[in-house]
Formats: sequence, C-alpha cells, structure tokens
Amino acid sequence: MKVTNKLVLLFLCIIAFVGCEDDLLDVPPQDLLVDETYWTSEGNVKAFAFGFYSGYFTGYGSGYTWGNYFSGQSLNDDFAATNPANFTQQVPTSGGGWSFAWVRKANIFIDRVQTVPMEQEAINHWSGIGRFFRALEYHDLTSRFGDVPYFDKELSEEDNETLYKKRDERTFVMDKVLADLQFAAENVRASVDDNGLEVNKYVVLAYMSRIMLYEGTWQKYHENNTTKASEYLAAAKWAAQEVINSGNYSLGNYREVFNSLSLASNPETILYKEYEAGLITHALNSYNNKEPQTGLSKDAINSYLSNDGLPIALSPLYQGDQGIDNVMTDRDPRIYETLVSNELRINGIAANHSTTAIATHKFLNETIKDDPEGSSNLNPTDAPIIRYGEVLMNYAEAAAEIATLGGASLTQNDLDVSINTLRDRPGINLPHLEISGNSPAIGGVAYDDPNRDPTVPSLLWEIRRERRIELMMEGFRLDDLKRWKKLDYVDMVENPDINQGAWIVKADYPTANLTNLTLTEGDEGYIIPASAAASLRVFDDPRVYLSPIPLDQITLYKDQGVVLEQNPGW
Amino acid sequence: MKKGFQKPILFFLFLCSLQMWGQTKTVTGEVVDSEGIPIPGVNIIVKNTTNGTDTDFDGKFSIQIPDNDKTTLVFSSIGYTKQEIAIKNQNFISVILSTSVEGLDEVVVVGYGNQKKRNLTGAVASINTEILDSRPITDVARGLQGVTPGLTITSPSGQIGENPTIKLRGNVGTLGTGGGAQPLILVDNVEIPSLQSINPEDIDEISVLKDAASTSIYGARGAWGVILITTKKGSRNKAPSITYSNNFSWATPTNTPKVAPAADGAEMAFAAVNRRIPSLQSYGVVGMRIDQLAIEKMREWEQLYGGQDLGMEMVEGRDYEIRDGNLFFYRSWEPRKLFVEKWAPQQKHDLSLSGGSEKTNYYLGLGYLDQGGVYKTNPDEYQRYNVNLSVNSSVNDWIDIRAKVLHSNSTTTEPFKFGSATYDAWYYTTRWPAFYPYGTIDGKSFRNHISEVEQAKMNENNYSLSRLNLGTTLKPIKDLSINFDFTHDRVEEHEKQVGGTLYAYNFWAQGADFSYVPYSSAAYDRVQYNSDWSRRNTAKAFLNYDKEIDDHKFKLTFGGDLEKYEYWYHYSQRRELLNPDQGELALATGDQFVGGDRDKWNTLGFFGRVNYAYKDKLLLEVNARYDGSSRLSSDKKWGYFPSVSAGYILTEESFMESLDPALSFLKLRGSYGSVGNQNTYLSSIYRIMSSSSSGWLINGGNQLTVGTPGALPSSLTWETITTLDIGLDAKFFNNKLGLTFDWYKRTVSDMHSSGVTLPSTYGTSSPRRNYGEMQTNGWELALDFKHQFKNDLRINATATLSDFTEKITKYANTTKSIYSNYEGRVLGEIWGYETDRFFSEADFNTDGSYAAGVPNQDLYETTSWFNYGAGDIKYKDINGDGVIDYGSNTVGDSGDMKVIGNSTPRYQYGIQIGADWKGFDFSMFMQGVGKRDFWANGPVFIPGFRYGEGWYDHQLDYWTPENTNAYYPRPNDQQQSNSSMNFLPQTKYLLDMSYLRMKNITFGYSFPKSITNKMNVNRLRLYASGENLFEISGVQIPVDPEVDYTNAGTNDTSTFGRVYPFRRSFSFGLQLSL
Repeated sequence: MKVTNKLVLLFLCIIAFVGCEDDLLDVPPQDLLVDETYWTSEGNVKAFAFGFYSGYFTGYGSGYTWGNYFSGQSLNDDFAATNPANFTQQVPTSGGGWSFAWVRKANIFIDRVQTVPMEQEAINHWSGIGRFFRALEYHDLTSRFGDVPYFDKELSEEDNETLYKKRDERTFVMDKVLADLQFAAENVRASVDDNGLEVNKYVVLAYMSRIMLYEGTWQKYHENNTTKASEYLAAAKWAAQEVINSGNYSLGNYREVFNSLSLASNPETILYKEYEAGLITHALNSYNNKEPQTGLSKDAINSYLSNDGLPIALSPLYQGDQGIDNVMTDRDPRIYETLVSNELRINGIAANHSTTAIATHKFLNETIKDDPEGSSNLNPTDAPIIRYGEVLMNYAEAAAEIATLGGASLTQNDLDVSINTLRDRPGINLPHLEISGNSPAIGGVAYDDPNRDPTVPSLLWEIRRERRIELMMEGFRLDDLKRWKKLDYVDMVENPDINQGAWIVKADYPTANLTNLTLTEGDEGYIIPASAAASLRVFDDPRVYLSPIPLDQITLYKDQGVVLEQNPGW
Repeated sequence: MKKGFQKPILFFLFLCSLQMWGQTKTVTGEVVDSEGIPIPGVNIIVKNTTNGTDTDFDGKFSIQIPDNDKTTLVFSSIGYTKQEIAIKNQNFISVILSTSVEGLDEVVVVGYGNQKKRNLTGAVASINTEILDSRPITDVARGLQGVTPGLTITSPSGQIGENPTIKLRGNVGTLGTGGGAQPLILVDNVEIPSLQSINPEDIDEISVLKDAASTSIYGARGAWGVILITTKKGSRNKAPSITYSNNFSWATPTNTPKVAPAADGAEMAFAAVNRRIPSLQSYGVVGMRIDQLAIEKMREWEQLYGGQDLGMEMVEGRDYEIRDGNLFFYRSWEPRKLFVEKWAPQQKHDLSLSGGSEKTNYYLGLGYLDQGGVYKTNPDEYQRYNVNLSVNSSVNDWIDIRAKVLHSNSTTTEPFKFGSATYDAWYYTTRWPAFYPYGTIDGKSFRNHISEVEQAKMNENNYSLSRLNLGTTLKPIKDLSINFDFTHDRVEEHEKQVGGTLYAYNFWAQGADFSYVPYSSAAYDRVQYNSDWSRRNTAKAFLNYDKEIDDHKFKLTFGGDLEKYEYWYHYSQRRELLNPDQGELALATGDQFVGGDRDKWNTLGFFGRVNYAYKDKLLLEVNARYDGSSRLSSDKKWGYFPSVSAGYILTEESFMESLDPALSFLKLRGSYGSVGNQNTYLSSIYRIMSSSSSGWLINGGNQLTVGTPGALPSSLTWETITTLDIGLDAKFFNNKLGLTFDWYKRTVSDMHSSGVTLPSTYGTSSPRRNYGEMQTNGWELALDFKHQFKNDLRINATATLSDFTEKITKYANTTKSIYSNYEGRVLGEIWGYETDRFFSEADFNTDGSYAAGVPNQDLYETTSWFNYGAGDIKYKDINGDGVIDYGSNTVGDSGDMKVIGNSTPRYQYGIQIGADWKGFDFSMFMQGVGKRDFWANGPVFIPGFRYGEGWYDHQLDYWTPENTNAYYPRPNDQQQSNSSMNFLPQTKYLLDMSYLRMKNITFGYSFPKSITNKMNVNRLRLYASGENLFEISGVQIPVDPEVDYTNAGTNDTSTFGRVYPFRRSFSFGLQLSL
C-alpha cells in the first residue's frame, strides 16, 4: 500500500506541475502581425501604405481584368459595343459601392502614423500619404453618391450616433478633401525612394488637379455654386501649375506611354505601374491585337481634327469617311497612334475584328505581339497611372472654366503651356490653338466648329475636344460627361453617330458572308454595332448622375430611427 | 554463477519437467451449438497456458492436457459465449456453446478506457472492422462510408491519394469556425492528420463516440465527436502467427460527361449566341473559327470518316481548312480515348507477424500499396508503405510497459500542371467542342492538354508520418491502474515541382500561322520545393479504479493531458532552368521566391469520470473536463465541460422475463452534456494584420503589404456544443435481431458570430462575439440480424439509416437576405423558382409583350438582348401578382422565390448482407443518400454557359419549334451565369443527387482444414470483389452523384462535373495465415 500511495502522489504531482505551467497557453499567432505591435518603424508604415496601391492604381489590371483603360468606362459616346452598357436600372439590395472600408483603412493609417517612432518630417510625410488616399476615396464616394457621411477616425461599434450619421453636404466633404490634398501637397516628400513607382508630392498634385477639376465643374454645372466652383477650380489650376513649374516632366512619344515594356525612363509618367513576366501581367496588349474588340464610334473618330488644326467640318484636307484611307488622311496624328489606320477589321472577315471595323492599337506593343508574352494574359507592358499629359489638360480646362466664372481670363500662355505643349509633342506637331477674342483660332484665323454643341462656348468646346482626343480610351469620358452634365451625349437614339462605325460596301467583300452585318443603308453604309432596337441606350432620367443608395442600408438606418436619404429619382 | 546454486536450480527444473512429462492425457470431443450443429474453428485453450487447438469442420477436436483435477479448457468462438469447462477425469466431452448476446459482452474502446457494450450509456458505435476486409480500398475513411449511422463521408472527386471529408452528426457544425462538423480522429489516443497514413490492415478496433457524454472526456478537441482507432498489438499466450494478404484491382471511371458531336454542338452554340448577336456570322474560340459552312463540313467529315482510324496526322481540306486566314476544324476527336486508360491497376500487399508469450505480446505489420492513375502518358501514381510495430511487456506483476512505432510513407506522382489546380487535365478533357484538334501536323501537335501532360515533368509529393509511443501501466493494487503515455508524432510533406516550357502550334494566339513555338508563361520555367512539417507531443496520465461493493459497481477515471503542436511551411522557387530534365534550385538562373507559414498551439486539460452500475441494470456515468487552450482570448482560456449519461437495462427486471426470448435485451439510455470548440479563427481574437503581396512591383519585387486590422473583438470564449441524446438498444428473438436507435439534439451556443448588424459606414465586418446559436436535430437507426441454418448456411445482415437537419436559431441579421445567414435558416437551403413550363408562341402578343394573364418576367430581361420567347422557361407566379420577381430578396419578401431544395444529404443509409456456407462466403454492401438537391454551376450543368466551349451529349434534347417536349429550353448564351435568364435556380433543373450505390460485392472461399493442414497453413482464403459496381441515381446529368466542388474547384465552380473521375473496380486476392 505504501507504494500505491507514493504512486498516486507522484501522479498528482505531475498533473499539478503541468497545470501550473501558465505560459503554456499563451501562444500568440506565430506568423501574423497584430495591430498592437505592428507600428514600430517607417518601413512598416510604408508596407501598410502599399495596401492602398492595388485599390487606386489599377493600371491595366492583372490577369484577364483591366483597369479603367480601354473599356473601363465603356458607357460613353466613344465606345460602340454590340451590347452597349446601360445605366443602372434598379436600386441594389446591398453593396452598390456604398462602402467605407477604404475610408476606415485611411483613418486607421493616419491615426497610427502619429505615434510611430520616427522623425516629425516622416510623420508628416506619411500623414500626407494617408490623407491623400482618404481624399481619393471621398472623391470617389461623392462623385458616385453626392452627399456622404464624412468620417475622420475609425468608428467604434458602439458609437451608434456616428455610425448612423446622416449624409454630410457634398461641399462639406469636398472641403475636407481639399484640406487633405493641400496638407498632402505640403507635406509629402518631393522625392521618394522610387519616384514614378511611389506616391510623391507630384503624384499628389496631379491627382489634386484631376479631383478639383471634377468637383469644380460639378459645382458649376450641377449646383450653380460659383463660389465653390471657383475655389475648387483654382485649386486644380494651382496643383497643375505646380507640376508644370517643377520642370520634372516632359512629353515624349505619345504611344510609348501606353505600350512600353518599361516606363522607368518615360518623362511623362508621374506614376506608373510596373508589370513583369511571371509576376504580374495583364491582357490589354493581347486584346488590342488578337481578339475581337469593341471599336471606336464614328462620333469619336469625327472628333479628331485634321492636321491643319481645324475640325473636319471646316478643314479642306478632310477626305470624308468612306474607306479607311480617306478617314485617315491628314488627321491629328494622335489618331494614328490610337487606331489601326491601314485596315478595317470587319466582323465576319477578320478574326480580330472590331465592332465598328475601326480597331484600336494604342495599347499594343508590336515587338512582343507574336510572342507568348504578347498573348493571352501574359502581357508585361507597364501601365501609366497618372501622366503629365492629363495634368496639362486639367490645367487648360481649369483655366478656361475659371474665366467663365469671372476669374482670370484665359490667356494664350495658358494654352501654350498646356494644349500647345501637347500639340508640340514629338511626332504630333499639330498647329497651335490660339485665342482670338473669345474664339478659338488657328494661324490667326478664328473658327467655330459647325458641329459644336450650341450650349458649349466655342473655346471650351475645343478644349473639351482636345481632352477627349488626348485621353481617348483612358477611362475619362464618362466622368467628364457627368461633371459637364452632358450625359445626353450617350443617348443612342438621339445620337445615332455613337452607334455607327466605318462606312463599307458589302459588295467589296464578295467572298465573305456579311448577311447579318447591319449597315445604315442596306448593302452599304455605316456599320451599326448595336442593331437591335431594344439594346439602344437612352438617357431619359437625370437621376443617373448619382448612384442609388442600397436598400439594406436605408432599412438599417430606419431601424435606428434615422433617415438615410435616397438620391433624387431613385 | 556460484556452484552452490547450481544444484538446487537443476533439481527444480527437473521436478517441473517431470511433472509435465509424467502426467498428460488426451481429451477428445466435439463442440455444437444450441441446435446441435457442429461448430468449426472453435478455439480451445488450456487455461493459463499457451497450449491450444481448434475444432475441425465437424466440430471435433483432440488435445493433450496435464492429467490432474485442476485442468480447465476454455472454448471460445466469435459469436458464441465463452465457456470454461473443468475436465476432471473425463476423456471425451461434448460442449454446447450458446450464441452470445451478440456483441453485448464485447468490450468497446471509449475515451481513456474500455466499457462493456451492454453497459454503455452514451452514443458509441463500435465498427465491425470486417467491413474493411477484402476490399480494394486505400484508406479506412472510404471504407467507413455508410457503415455507421451519423458518419458522413464524402469525396468530391476520385483523385487518388486524397483524403475524403469526414463529418459526424452534421455538415456545417458551426458558422463560427471553419472545418465543419469534423470529428477528432485518434489513432491509439493521439490525433492523426490523415487517415491515408493508416493501413486498414493494422486496425484492431474502431469506435465512434457521438454524443457529448462520450466525448466530453476529450474536451475542446472532441466538439464534433471522436473516432477512436486502436491498432493491433498481438495477444498474450499465442503462438507466432504470420498472415499475408494481397489484392489486385483494376479500376475504370464511373459517370463522366460526354461532349456533343461536333456539328450538333456547334449548331447549339450558334443558336445560342445568335440570340445575343443576331448578326454574328461566325464565332471564334481560342483561335478556331466556326461558321455554317464549317458545320456542314463537320457533318460531311462524320459521314465519310466517322469511326475510322485515320491516325493522328491531320490533313488539310479533310480535317481542317484555312479560309480568309482563319482556322476551321472539322474532324472529331475523343480526347478521353486518347488520354485515359480504360483500366487503371492497383495492388496491395500486407504482411504481419504477431503473437505473445506469457509476459510479452507483439505485432509487426508491413503494408504496401500501389495505386495507378488513369492517364495514358505520364500517369499519376500513389504509393504507400506502412510499418507498424507494437510491443507490450510485463516487467513484473504490476508494471507493464509498451512501445509502439508507426510509420507511413506515401508518394504521389503526377504531371506538372501548367496552370492552376482548378483547371487540371481533367477539366480540359471535356472542356472543348469535339472538333478541338488533338492530332498532329508534320508529327507535331496543336496546343492541347494531352500534349501538355506529355511534355510535363512529374511532380513528386512525399508524405510521411512517424510516431513513437511509449507508455506504462502500473497496477500497484487490485483494481487500480495508472497509465502514462507519451507520444511524439512528426509529419513531413515534401513536394518537388519542375515546370518547363511547352511547345505546340499555338493556334490560340497565332491562328492559321502554323509555327511550332513555346507558348507557356515564362513563370512555369521553374523548379519549386514545398515543404511542411509538424511536431506533436502528447502526454497523458490517467488512472482507473474499479470497485465492487455488493450490487454496486464503481469505476473511476481521473487524469490529464497535454498537447503541444507546431507547424512549419516553407517553399522556394527559382526560375529559368538550365536544363528542365534536371530541375534543381542550384541549376536555375532566374528570379527566386520564398515563402512560409508557421503555426503553434497548446492545450491542457484535466478530466474525470465516474461509472456506477447497480445490479448491472441501472447505469450512470458522470464526466467532467476542465480544458484550457491557447486558441482563445487571453482572459478566457479555460472552460469547464460536464456531462452525464444514464442507462436502464429493463430486461434485467423480473417483470420483463416473460418476453424472453422474443425480447432478449432492452436498454434505454440518455445523455446530456456540453463540450467546447476551440477551433477559433485567430482573426476573431487578435487584430491581425496578415501580410500579403500588394500586387505592386518595384524593380521586379512584389511589395509586401499588410491588411487593415479588423474590428477590435470583444473577449471571445468557447463555442459550447451541448448534446442531448436519447437512445435504446434492443435484441430480439434470442439475440438474432438487434436494434439501436438514437435521437439527438445538438446545440451550438455562444457561436462566434456578429453580435449586431452594422451599417457599411462601419467600414469592416462586425467583430465576432459569442452570440449566435445553431441546432442540429437528428436520429440514427442500426439493425443487425444473424441466423444459422441447419445445413451450416449462416447469414447476417446489418442496415443503418440516419438523418439530421441543421438550423440557425439565433443570429444577428436584421435584413434577413435569403442569401445570408439568418435566424430560422435551415442550412443548405436553396432558394429558387418553381418551373412552370416552356413559353409558347401563344404566351406573347405580336409585338413581343406578354399576353393577357401571362405573368411578366421583365425583371430578368434586363440585359439589352435577352427577351423571353417561345421555348424559354416560364416560371410560376406563386404569389399571383402577375410578375415574376424576388421582392427584396429577404425572408418574408422573396416574391415568387421559395426554398426549393436543400443540399444537405438526408437519409443516409447502408445495407450489408453476408452469408457463408462450408467455406464459401459472400458479402454485399450498399450505401446511399435518400435525398440531396444541388444547384450546380458550369457548362456541364447549364447548356450555353460558355457558348464557344463544349456542349454535351445530354444537352442535345433542347427546345425547337419541332421539339417542344424537350428537356432543355431553347439554346441561349447564358454568359457564365447559373442564376439568370433560363437558368434561375428552379425546380425543374435542380439536381437530384440522391443515390444508391453498390459499394461492394465479395465472393470468397476458405480452403478446409483438411487441405490447409497438409500445406502447413492455418487459413487460406481466395476472394474476388467488385467496388462501386453500379449506382441508381436520380441525377439528371451524367455526373457521379457524389461529385462536388473540389477544394481547387471552389475557385471556379464552373468546373463542376469535370473532375478526376470516381472509379469502379474489380479485384481479387488471397489471405493466408501460417
């Protein structure tokens, strides 16, 4: 029995000993970092900041997705699809873009940066980066929904008052955005480790010109708020001016911005996205080469000037639009950089046809087009994220709009530093746009495009044309039409030109079977890509300028006794 | 040795031998059953010795025994009650063995101990391991399918070397954590990560602990039940015995979809795409063009050459054509014939040695398995070696020690995948239309998966498990035993992948320009090593104490266990191989990549159990466990989980005696208890900022970033799983028929879930709280029957049936979207429409609008080109409002949608029937699922999912004005959607995945003793068996009824049905013991 007692005692001792080993159950995650211990160095701050890049700087996307380029904003008057994109028809049950995850991410970032052990200069720089991304997000939210609740800190789940806050006035939000951008412009470093691949002061300024131009024109055309419009446009102009004055950027070959294997030494890209075979690749190059594609509308093609600087309706050089050779004779050279100018690619004849027979090759790199990396989703060409050319266009338009609001008048110098710089670009060499009184002029002779929208002043009309051409297929057109309050341009019934392509005669292609190809006049005429009447997009309700708020959110607010107001018309 | 001691020892030995030598005699006799029928093979042993024999075919025996008054013989045979007979002065004895109350005296393994089956109070099933016998199965789990009610075993594809999913009493288990209701699988009391590493031949016993009362002794790890497996260890006093068995089998695929004939498929495709683009003359898919002329040419080709062997070389004009620079193909191919071996071989060899002396017993098992895959070139293969060694020894009369070594090593080889695992060669075998070119031009092939597999190097994946177990049992006094066990367990998995560069006519990119070029991404020109390894150290200490005081029996168990687990994963990759035939890291020049993971957790628990029996009829068991885990918030690491169960054996009462033998045994039992679930997501406890690649390159480096930290969690504690189980065990007609029934309700409370629905302004998902609640309700029934006829024919049968449903009973969700979790949701439910019929012309006015009285389906015409017309699906207007709609997609306002089915398997059953007669034996095992619905995805399920890709034979029956009674609607470009236009989830096309499968039929013959004795063999049996022989299923499309989204396939559910096929196999083998 003695032995037994000892054994039982030993048994209990072992159990008790193990039980006292308290650390045993304290095992934090081994390969995961936690918020409490993460914010210890500038390197960590920088790593966190890269998390914003994928959200905002999509470039050409990756795999088979692409960013805003080419078809990113396909609902417009440039893009003539067989099944055209339509406006939102229904209020979504949930989702619909009404998300504040990025706002939260930025707010957490800004908050944590303040206590990271590093120089005040670094704290300011990274605060600026955080506020820059918060500004981008709030610009996205306001441009989509108008009034939105504004938050500048991470919310607590118990803080119902803030969680269920009413929507803040658009101008209130945009004033905050402006303040964020101004702070960022002042504090973000002018030079960072990898300029061109990281956000620096000039990236901030370039985006500031884009965002403030958007909001300034919105305030003017939608809200009639001259004060705010002037303030935002002044900010846009100032930001663009800062970029110009820096002297860091210049223009090279137009197409090289879009089809280069490397943009590292491209003088025009303020920020670009690097692609590399086997790591991150895209499919836009292939799409411009191998695949059937959606083509450019007749309306877009007609907006290109002749190379004497005059609109086609006025230029003696214009050869009409029958046959690709005629279309492409003596035009603004940017048309050759953007479009395939020596052949029509007709559905039923060419495998890589275009819906309008006019194909795009702006994003095609000819040297790799037949290699594996030129095909499928293996394309390694770098993508511009924001470029000097756009900043110049932002400058020109902001300056012109400020003049319409009683501010400084638009000077020839304003045009020379912007539009005319673009026209002087190597390989373009288009005659300068001049100001003659309130009219545009070429070679000292004022002109007025007979095809001008009569509600748009002639000089502004030319600036908007320049913007459309310079930024063709870069994903700006829908946003531009929205802020100008010109969504009626995308109504396909009112504007049949935007649903037409190249002019062809079926009899010219005797061996091909083109029976199902719809032309404007039977066996000849302009190709009509969207031939079914039911598929035509109409613009009959101005509510689509703003997106609807999802139903579940309205219900959630209602349960709390708060009204989350729906946008007008929805 | 000192001289003085020698003499006495020698004298002692002499006395002993003299005693044995001088006093033996021969006893003969026969053994019969209660009906006088001789019983062959009865084991007879002289008590307390190793001396023994067996009865022959006529139940006769003869044995030499010491001639004294004390000799006792022990007669035992499976299925009969053991009997001891004192021989005294008899020379011939006749023994009648009565059939045992089947299994009731059998001892069943339970947590930290054993229990007689009759005294069990919890829901514990012991599995007859004979069901694993003679079957060409590679792992235990597959063999257990349908055997025990409550256990659901599924495999989403027939991929070799892959673990099936094992669930117990439920499918989802809890919404709070991952993994579902997966039971803890213990081999010799220690968790095993993969049942593939256990050789079925080494298994001695399997118990399934189902209710909380049985598993609570395992605490937090046993939340979803426990499967206890013990391996063989040999028995004491048994002469060495060698057994050898083998199995050779050949397998062939079960149901797989078949691509439609070339022209028919292309015609459907045209009909479909022309609805979207009426003007389309020709369409292209990966470099091939299709137009009406091509369809005519395909038909022509079929007429002229269909069925002929034209060789692989393709002839221009006949097999393909280049028109206007476009590439047209006319010839039909059957990639499956080119790619798949009709019969894939498999073989299995097992050898064991076991036995024991008075003090020691041992077992050595060796196993080899070689399973061949079905690819014709570069076939995949699975090979496994097992070693299992066990030694138990008594040091003295109160100390036992044991040691056990378990080792398993398996190697899977398969061709390198140039693409993701989601789109493997199987997917491509039926991806393209029949005219996709598999032939050659000038001996060189087009880009296709067969040539890719041919060009691939082989991946090699080696998995090994090594386990060392050391333990001791101390029995210092009668009825007390103290056990210590330590197990060190290491799992290693190493994989080597070597890619390369693929060459072909890359017509995808180059169309008619036939140049033989490299086309694979440069990223695949690489070598990669993946390694993961884990260490698990488990220490257990527990004592058992039995005490009997008059009619009261007590059994005490008390102890603790500790488990430490660590895991590492690492991969390294380098690109640009110098020589693809020698893919090594040192022989590559390009970019290098590394990555890794790490995990670690510990648990500690203390447990106790008291069993009490009053007169062996009233039974009570109380369990408790105090459990700690490193996987919970630091202030709530400990949990206490008690349980209680009780049983009442009514047949022990005198008032029940009159029912005997009609009702020979009846026990009612019930249990109630709770267990914790420690499988918490780390993100629920910590504000994790997990690292990932940002997708933003700087000078070729993918910048690392970290995620936004989640919401600050409230302190989380265990999810508690409470089970109430009520059951009965009964035996009828002198124990011939047995019945076990259980009803249970399992409640997961404190379920990790959002405590509240927050608006989007919150910016992240709500923090997890111990808020939700879920319930599983189910029942299980098992029947067994056994009978022996006078002519020696014995039959036996078992049947199992079980069912459960899982329901959310508490959940924070105010919007109650029908696609989200909400209170009242039955898990697996499928919302959809009721199919009315096809539209006819009469349903529309001439302008295309709906005729009067026809419900409007405008809601689903939103895409600019799709308008419903004759031949399209007309849905039922259930709420009669004249419009087909989904309301607000919420419960209570779901328009015409309703729950049309459920994807949870219901009424799972298994039926086993066996018979043997004079050495011949037969057994048959069927298994099935009574009801399961599925709304699948992808082209096999939805015609026109991607119009340019393959259409299938079974989709040819589609609506045309001439064929209005078709199964499928008018062809349409479904644009990769399984929830739009004609294929909104609906009753008509909802897959009926119920099935009855003939799992196995085995015929065997054991040679009689008269022959085997001459061969010096104890037992020799030959058998032939068939596995997965056929199935009866309601499934409307040619897929195996068990097919599901594979792990890789969940990345793209359109791969549905195009996975590594399930297989039927035929096998034969022998079993030999010496």
